[in-house]
Amino acid sequence: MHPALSIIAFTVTTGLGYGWVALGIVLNLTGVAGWQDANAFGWTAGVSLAVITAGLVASTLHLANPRNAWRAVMRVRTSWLSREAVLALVFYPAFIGYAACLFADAGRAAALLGWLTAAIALATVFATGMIYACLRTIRQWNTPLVPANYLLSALALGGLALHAQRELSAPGGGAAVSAVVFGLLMLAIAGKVVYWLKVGLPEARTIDVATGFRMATVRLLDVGHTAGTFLTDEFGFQVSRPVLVLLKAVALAAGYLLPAILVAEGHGAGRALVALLLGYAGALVERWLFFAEAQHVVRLYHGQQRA
Amino acid sequence: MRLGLVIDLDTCVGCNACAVACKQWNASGTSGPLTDQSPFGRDPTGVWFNRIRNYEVGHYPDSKTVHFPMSCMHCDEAWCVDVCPTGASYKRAEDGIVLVDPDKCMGCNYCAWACPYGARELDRAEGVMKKCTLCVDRIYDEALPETERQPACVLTCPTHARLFGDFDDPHSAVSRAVAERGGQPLMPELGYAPVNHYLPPRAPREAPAYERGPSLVDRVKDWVNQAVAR
Repeated sequence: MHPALSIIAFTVTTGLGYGWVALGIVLNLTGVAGWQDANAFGWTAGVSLAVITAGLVASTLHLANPRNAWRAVMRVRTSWLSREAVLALVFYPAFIGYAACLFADAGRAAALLGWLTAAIALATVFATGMIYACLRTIRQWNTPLVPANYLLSALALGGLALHAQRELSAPGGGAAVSAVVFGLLMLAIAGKVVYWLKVGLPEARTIDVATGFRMATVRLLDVGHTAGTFLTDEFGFQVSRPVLVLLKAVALAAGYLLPAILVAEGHGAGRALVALLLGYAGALVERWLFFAEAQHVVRLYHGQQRA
Repeated sequence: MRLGLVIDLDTCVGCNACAVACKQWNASGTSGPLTDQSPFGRDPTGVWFNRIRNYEVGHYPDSKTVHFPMSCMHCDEAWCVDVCPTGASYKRAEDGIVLVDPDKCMGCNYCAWACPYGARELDRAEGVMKKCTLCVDRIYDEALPETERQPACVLTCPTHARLFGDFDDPHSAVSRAVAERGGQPLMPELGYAPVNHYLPPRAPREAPAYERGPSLVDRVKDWVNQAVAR
């Protein structure tokens, strides 16, 4: 699949924002680590909302006809893209309501709206993952590991943001948060490795199954066009195996392992910010790989033997 | 009614006339224009509803060249319609034709991702998804003679490799062709229940062997042998 930068930026950035909000609220409501003070919560809410909004705006950049983007909420009954759009919109009043209750010291209402906001945030990330996971045409995506990994990525990245925010507001003393973030990063690594192992399994469809000549070898003689088409541009993306392996190593090391070490070993705002930036860059690389590695079945009709 | 096409892989000669007729009709039809980018340049590209690819099946000398036209299969379980977030893609209840409403499409490409057959192509100039309409603006046109109320690709095919009709009617030409020739849909295991069917190439006829009599040399040898024995 063609790795469109706008979709990569959109999924990673909104994932960071939703993970940040959901994790912050859950840690606060469970009493693991409260919002440090009204000031800290205020700017956290502002920045996380800005991050989410920027991500959502990025998502419209890949539309060929963004004038009709508002219609994306029309098919909630069947389309995961529609569900994601609706959840993303519903998130705003829930989160703003939660923030208002928190500032107004309405404890019960804040708790109720807090759980609701966290649930909507995670549901949005889940819906994003399901957009890809529901496609039977792409073997690498058609697995429950995809929404699981989207959730783990979002929580790990959101954890890094929460950690950085706490270190910036009041350095030190966030041992519980550090431990949680470290655990989430380890879970995210495990999710990534399991997903990459699954993608590597030899369970591809073949050109003879696609063309219906199941008992014979099939070879493309002529594809019928001399230049690229929409189909070859969208689905023909190819990346060599050594590059794939290298980028996977980079994504794991820079995006997850290094931040985990930085978070676990010591404190400081600068350190936490570096960990967050590394995690964000690593997640971008990992999401690029997610698209680059996906092979649509239409490639079989274009002559590829297995996809 | 479940309208669709039957494509005969035995008689298709890969002339691309169906694709050209399709482009010609639909460029000025309800989904027109079908825009092209640099049509007279080095790398011409543009929207086509119908594309023909050519394959070699089997190993030489037991091989066959198969010409393979592909367009929208108008699937019963049209996943492209289900994933569409705007409701621009829809499947008509009355005849099963899958269409796109260009006024609602936002050009997100999600339906093209969901289609295993590469039937949907984005019109880059207009920013909306386009696809085979089964010539919906032709097959119901009462101004046309009844024999011409067929998709442009079917009408133009010089080898009659394309049939159009109602798959719900067991006596229609398409249903009979599928029953008699063992017509198959493409990748049914994906669960899209495509309506279009493909008739497999017929088994090649045994080539008649040429019976040769004994050669002149053999006949001389026979005569000599008989003479010597005597």
